[in-house]
Amino acid sequence: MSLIVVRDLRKTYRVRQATEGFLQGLASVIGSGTTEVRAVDGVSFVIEPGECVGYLGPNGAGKSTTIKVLTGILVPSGGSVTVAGLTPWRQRMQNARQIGVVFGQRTQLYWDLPLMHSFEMLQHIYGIPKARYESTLGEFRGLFGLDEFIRTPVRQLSLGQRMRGDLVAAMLHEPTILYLDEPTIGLDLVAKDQILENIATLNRVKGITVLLTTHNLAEVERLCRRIILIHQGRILHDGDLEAFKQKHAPFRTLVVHLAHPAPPVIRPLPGADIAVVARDRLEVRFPRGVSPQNLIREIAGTFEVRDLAIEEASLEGVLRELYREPPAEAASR
Amino acid sequence: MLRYGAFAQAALRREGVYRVNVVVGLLGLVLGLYVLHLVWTELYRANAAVAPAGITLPAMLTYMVIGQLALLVVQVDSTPLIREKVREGIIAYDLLRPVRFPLYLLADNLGSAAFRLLIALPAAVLAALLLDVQLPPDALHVLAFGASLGFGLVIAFLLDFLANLTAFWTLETFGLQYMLRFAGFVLSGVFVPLWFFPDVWRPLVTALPFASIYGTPLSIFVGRLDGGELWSAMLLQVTWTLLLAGAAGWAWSAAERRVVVQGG
Amino acid sequence: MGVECRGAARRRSGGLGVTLFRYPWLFMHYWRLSALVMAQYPLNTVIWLVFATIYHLSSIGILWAMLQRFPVLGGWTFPEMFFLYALWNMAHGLYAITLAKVYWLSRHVREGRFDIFQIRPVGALFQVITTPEGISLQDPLIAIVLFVVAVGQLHVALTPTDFALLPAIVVGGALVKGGLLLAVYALSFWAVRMDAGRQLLETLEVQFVRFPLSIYPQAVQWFFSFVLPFAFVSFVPAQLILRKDTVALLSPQLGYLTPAVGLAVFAAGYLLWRIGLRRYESTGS
Repeated sequence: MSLIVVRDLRKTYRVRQATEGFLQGLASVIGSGTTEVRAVDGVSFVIEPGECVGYLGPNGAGKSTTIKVLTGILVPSGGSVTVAGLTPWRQRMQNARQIGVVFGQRTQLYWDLPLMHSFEMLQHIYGIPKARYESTLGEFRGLFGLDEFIRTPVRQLSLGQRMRGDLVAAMLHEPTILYLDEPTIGLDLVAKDQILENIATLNRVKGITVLLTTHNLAEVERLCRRIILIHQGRILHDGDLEAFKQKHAPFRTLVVHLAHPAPPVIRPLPGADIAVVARDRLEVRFPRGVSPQNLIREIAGTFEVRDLAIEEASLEGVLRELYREPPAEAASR
Repeated sequence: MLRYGAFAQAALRREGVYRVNVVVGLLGLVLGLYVLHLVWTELYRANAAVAPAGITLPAMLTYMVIGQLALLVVQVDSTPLIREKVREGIIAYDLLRPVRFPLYLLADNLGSAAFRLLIALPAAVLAALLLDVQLPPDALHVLAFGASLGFGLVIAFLLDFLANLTAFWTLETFGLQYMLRFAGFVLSGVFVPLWFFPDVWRPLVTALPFASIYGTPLSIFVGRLDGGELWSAMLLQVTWTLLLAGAAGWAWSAAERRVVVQGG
Repeated sequence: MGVECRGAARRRSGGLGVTLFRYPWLFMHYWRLSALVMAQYPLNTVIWLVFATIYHLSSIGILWAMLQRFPVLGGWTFPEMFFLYALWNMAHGLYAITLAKVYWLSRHVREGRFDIFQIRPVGALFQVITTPEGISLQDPLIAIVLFVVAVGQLHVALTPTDFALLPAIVVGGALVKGGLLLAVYALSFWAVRMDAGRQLLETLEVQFVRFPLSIYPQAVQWFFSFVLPFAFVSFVPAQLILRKDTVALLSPQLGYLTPAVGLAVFAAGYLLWRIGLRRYESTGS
């Protein structure tokens, strides 16, 4: 039986002007002046236990809204959602026991208290039996290396440490599903790497079903084989990541820094698109499957090269590609 | 000198920004006046048999109204400017500026006071019309009241400043300045005139600086202090001002030294 | 592990019986955690104690000074007014360590923490009021000391019945205060910034509760008895205990109704909260 079933989910917001102050707030309760925003417009997907799914989309695409509905925070305008047989917003507290959530931009830890105390509080909130709690916590302490900062007040932790703390906090009650809403935002490369590794462990070693939202394609690549791409409230792609990259991001770019300004006319190279981007910089687009070896040799033979770099496709770039055709056609592919 | 004027102006403008606070504060003032008016009227009525120490109800009500308005205007609070900054470690910036910090604080507080005065004056006029407030007996008393209130403001500022300076040594003395303020509510005679206090306590309480903040100017306003008593009371105010200013100056250089040593 | 966990989760979600035990237990844990936080700043705790003492001394001092020359106010003497103040403080003390944190709701919503409260298997309101930051466990302790002193200096002795009624009265008073605050802050779900509303409520309470209700005109008495029932926090039960009858509008016997009034006010506030919550769930902000 599928774990998460979403059918034709719709959520429309009425946006009214922000109010300030007591009297104006009172007035706003009576008055109106609103516009409709379709945050999620007919989204459907199914997630099986043990999957790790990347939920991608640019900002404002509807990712957070979907997560909020799945976690039971938000009541949708239409459609149905079942998470392990429960309707999240109707059986909120029951659903809460089987899910763990990490919000990248807000922490659920208590700011002034040592990390340890946040965990303790959660133990009591979830009603975890002491023995169970100790063994779970012990396991995570080892896995994620918490010991060095578990007694530090949360406000003194680095962002990377805090995220690890949040991850453990979300997992203390051993949920079967883990939702992550932009968990690597603001992290430096090392910390990002670590968190992604931790999440990967949870999914591959412990079999937790993971739904991760992000707008960073590279992150998803590391963790998930399946991605769901959402844009303007609709799903544009739902399936294997590799296939997606083949179809929509079939190119990579070789960035060449020249020692001298590029000549006005450049002989075209077979199988590659050369673009002169600046006086001394070339961007060479080439197909994904092809090794850049020949290309590099050609270029090094033709120009004096100061520096070389290879860039992966970005989500923004992919979307730009996708929007050469209308979204409806792209979705039906 | 002009520089300090600018600080005062900035404080004036800043206070005005928090419109909601102003409205609620004003409401608190009006309600407070209303309640106290009822209280004193009732006190006099229910205890008509007891001689009210030579002050009539109208005079008492005047004292109360002017007292509450003075309370509104004189309330000094340098906490955000000192304590918070020390806590956040940015006090060093203030010390680097080419202005004398204590004077800057004083100017800031004067600016805030001026803003509150702008609100207090129309409220005072309203109160005078509605609540039967008696004016001071002559021009001398008016001038003396103004001067006396000015001294009171400076004394209040100095006490608050000294209390806040403890922040340079430990942040844990939060609330010290507010404790002084609460002590001031009772001991300054702003709610209950000092001459209602039992004879045993009166000399001590009168000698404390708190009495020189509100008690003296208010007594002048209702004409309770005259001639020799008036001058000696004001002399006490001047004495306290000088004493506290000296202490403040000394404490401030100690604080400055501490910042240099500790590094902000 | 997945299937087993799901089963366990369903079992643990229990019914009303579990709820009745869990919430008080969580409360105690919250207090314990808060005490730990306070213990980390011992000097701060002591300073706060001194501060509160001076604050109370000053409030009582003003009353005392007033009643030096004029022994009676509205039919109440100083010892009786001291008692009135102390009784109010008891209710406030209980309120401070239980319901007072409701005013953090604005902040939680603004900072996005409120969403986090909703993904836990415990009521959101409960989590708001048990935020273990910035609690002052000293308030109820000081209130008890004050109360003992106040009772000691009364000219009449309290009967055992009076003492038996006391917990219900204090709880009722705390519920009135909490309920009113909850009603005001439930509006946060519509207008977000309700701090002015809270200040207004506090101003009204502080200004009028200091003195016996008997000195106010009938309209004001009516207002604080039936619109914002602050009178039931201390004045009405004090009349009952001290066997005074100074307000025509309110017979001392109404003091027995204090817990009921508390429950009613809290229920009203809670209803507004539920409505607000539902609105929040459908608009998500």
